[in-house]
Amino acid sequence: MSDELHQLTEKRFTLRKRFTLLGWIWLTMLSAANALVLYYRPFANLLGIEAFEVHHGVWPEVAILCGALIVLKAVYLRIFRRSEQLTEFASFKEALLQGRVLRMSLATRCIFLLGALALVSVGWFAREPIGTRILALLFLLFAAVELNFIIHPGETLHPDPHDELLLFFRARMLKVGYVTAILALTSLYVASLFASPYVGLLVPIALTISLLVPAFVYRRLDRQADE
Amino acid sequence: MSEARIGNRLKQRRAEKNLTQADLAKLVGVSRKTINTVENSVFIPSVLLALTLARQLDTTVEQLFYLMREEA
Repeated sequence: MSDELHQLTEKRFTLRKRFTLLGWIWLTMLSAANALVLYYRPFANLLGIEAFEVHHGVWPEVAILCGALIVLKAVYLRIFRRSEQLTEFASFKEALLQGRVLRMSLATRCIFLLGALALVSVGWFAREPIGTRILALLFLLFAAVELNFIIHPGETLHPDPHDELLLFFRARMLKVGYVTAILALTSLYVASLFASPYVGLLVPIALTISLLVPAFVYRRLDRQADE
Repeated sequence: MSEARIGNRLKQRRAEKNLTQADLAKLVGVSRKTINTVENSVFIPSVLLALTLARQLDTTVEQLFYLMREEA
């Protein structure tokens, strides 16, 4: 192993990256490109999907732009930063296997999940079906991240599957999550009887509660284990 | 009717061996939190872990863990 790789693997990894000047420039360019694409709709003219966008919204423009930018960045990294990328990837892989890649904190995950829930709720109130469906995909993505945490708890991205304490925590979390989910489903059934128009709003809230309660139980157990 | 609970002398045995929780965790191959929760009776270890702990502390499982009977 090279010295550089060794130094990289020594530190504990997090999935958070500090925003550099280049990062801010990249973000500004991305926002500007997005605004321009939404204003001029070049892909609709190019692909002849104007009628589709009139009826279904401009999301294909954003999707094509995102795809093009991802390909562009991948090509740039492959050509100009190939060696750095390979070193970083090798060190990341080793850190992942050694269980040193840390997960997002509970606070960060809460911000993402509750933020997505807020957006979905706003979309529901605004009666904007296309936008709400896109936001719902984002919300479900964060819900899947949280579900993964319940099934594979631990501070690291690749927790030890034979860690007895984590298995014990998981059993507790699943028990609490199961009870919470049943209570949430019962509440939804009652709501459907007396306030059926609001069920569409209440379902993501119930899902969020069912996912976050076990996460907070893990937090409490983990702190208790640390004392 | 009696309800049995499991007590342990892990902290005492560990102190006798001049080991920290982190040292014992490293010897056994678990996290420090696992040792801490076993010592505080928050978590009851598996037979495999109990045997490994006993071996590392040069004692038997029966010496390390015992039944505390509480009349209900």
